[in-house]
Amino acid sequence: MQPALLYSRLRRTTLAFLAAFSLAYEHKLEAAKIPLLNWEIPAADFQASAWAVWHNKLIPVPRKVDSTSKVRIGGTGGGLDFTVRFFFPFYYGVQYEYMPVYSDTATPTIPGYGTINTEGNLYAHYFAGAAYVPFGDWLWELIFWRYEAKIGAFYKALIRAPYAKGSYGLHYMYATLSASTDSSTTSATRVGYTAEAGLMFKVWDRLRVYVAYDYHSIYEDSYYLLGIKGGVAYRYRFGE
Amino acid sequence: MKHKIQIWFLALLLTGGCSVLTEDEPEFGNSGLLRNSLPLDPTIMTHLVGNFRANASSSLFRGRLTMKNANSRLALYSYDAETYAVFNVGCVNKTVVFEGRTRDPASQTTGLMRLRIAPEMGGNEICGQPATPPTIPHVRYTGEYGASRNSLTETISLEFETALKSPPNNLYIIGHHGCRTVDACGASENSIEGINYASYLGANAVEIDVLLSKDGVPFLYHDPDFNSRLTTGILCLGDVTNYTILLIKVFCRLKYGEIIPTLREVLTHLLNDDSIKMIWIDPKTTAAMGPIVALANEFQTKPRTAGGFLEILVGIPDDDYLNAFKAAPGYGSAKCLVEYSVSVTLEMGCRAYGPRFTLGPQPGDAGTLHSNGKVIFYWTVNDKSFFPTYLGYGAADGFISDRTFLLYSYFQQ
Repeated sequence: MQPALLYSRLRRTTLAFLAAFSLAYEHKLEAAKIPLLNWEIPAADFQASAWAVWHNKLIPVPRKVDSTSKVRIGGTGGGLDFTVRFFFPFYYGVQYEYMPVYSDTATPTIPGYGTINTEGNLYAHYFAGAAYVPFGDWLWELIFWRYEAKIGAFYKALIRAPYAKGSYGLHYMYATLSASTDSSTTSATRVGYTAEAGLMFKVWDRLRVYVAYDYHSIYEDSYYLLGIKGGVAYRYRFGE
Repeated sequence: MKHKIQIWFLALLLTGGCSVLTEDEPEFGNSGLLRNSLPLDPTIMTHLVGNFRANASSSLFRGRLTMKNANSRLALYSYDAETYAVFNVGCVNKTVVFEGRTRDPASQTTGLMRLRIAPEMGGNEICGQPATPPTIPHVRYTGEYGASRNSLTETISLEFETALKSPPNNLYIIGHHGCRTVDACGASENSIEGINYASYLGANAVEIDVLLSKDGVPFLYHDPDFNSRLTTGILCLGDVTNYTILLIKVFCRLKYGEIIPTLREVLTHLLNDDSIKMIWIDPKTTAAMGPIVALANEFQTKPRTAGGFLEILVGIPDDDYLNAFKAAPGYGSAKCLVEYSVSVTLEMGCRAYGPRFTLGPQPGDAGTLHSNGKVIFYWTVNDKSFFPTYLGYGAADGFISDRTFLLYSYFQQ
């Protein structure tokens, strides 16, 4: 199916859902605690988190140097972000992530050079603006808060858990390359973005833990990584 | 009401934006008739060329159509529609089959075309063992084309009109970077395959860009960095001067998968390809000038397989490159082309002056150059409406073009 068609269906479906949602709950929104909806500017929420990420898929699969290539897709990286929820009902801020992208070790035969040893490794430092969308918190603040006594702590945590996060920024890519006795390090910047969906659970006071499925696009070079991530978040509400 | 507006605003934030559609190049692949074909005798190709007229109006190929051969390929040009197709050819039983991609550079659309010469229309002789010229006066083509191999719905037949007319003997039809990757000509720019495509598209000369690797080897490439516009290879990125030629050959490929060639490999290739009579080397760094001059001097005296010598012009785009040229050992023996000054062209005894065409036709300069035995090439002319003016008033000896097939077919009208 064409990407544009998929995209169009997604947009129509989302708009339809939100339209129905707005009609169904319009009369109850006065009680909602989402700042944008109750048109108030409350105190800011601050959230900082750190994570480890493990990417194990790279799409499209890169061309190997040679049939002898042993490749490593992705690997384990990590990052941190600092976001604030103020005026808008989602958290926004900045993030940094380090990640290995790809590695290829081979013994190709190159005309004029014979059979040689080669190795290439690619890494990325990612600096981006980020938006953390607390869907679970929205559901709670819009609807379920009034049933707190009946729901219980476990289901409350489950309802509040779903979130999505996106980011957009620059990758500082760098590669270490070697072939026979030649070696070099090279670097370049590439635009990219991420999208993740996950569950975040409050474990103690202001401390939360989360797991997520991560999509990480090196958009400018038309490839992306997939993986899972896990982390901890510290959330602080000013004025409490 | 206020809340509904806010939710809609939120919805637009979440879902707004646009997406980009990309298309893969169509190909016949395993469903092509040429899969089981026999190769055509190359000497018979000259009986397949000429100027033809399509028997029905076609938006993609209209007016007088030019069928031309170069090396082992044939190509069909439409001057009026500004489109072309490049074919592979073979014999399937007694039918000559042509399969290839159509291309409309203006709209950036690509499709597929299949043509045939039926047995009674010349196929019997052309595909005979041994192959002989057809007994009928002129071959007739029939076929179909479309956006993909499953939609070859437009039919076409070609009736012979005239034999090919040669462009003026001394005219240089110069393929820009060989042929351009952004025009999806069928090969990557600055590659040996791209230079071959330039000849399929009517060029008799090429302009190529040259950079210098970390270990001092001149190679064909345009940009100062490896990027997804021109290359593939996840480990191929960043400043080209970080790469030795071995690292380039191991980790980088051009957009259509070709290995990035060295200048020496290209010059060696052109010694064996007499369809290209001149190469204009455009240095992209002054550091490359010394090795370029050395290679130009080495190869301009090597005889070509078909006889004669390859004309090699070293480009000088400004004073910095002029100084680098003059600092290169043996520069006095190398032929040069100055892009920015007629007086420097004459002072240096260069072969050619190559101004950008947007400076306008320069009949005075052309006259001065011609009276001193020099030539003038304008770059980069893609609009066919400029050809008459620059050939006449501008006294052009050649053009760099991304659409060399238009210049070739201009002389067929």
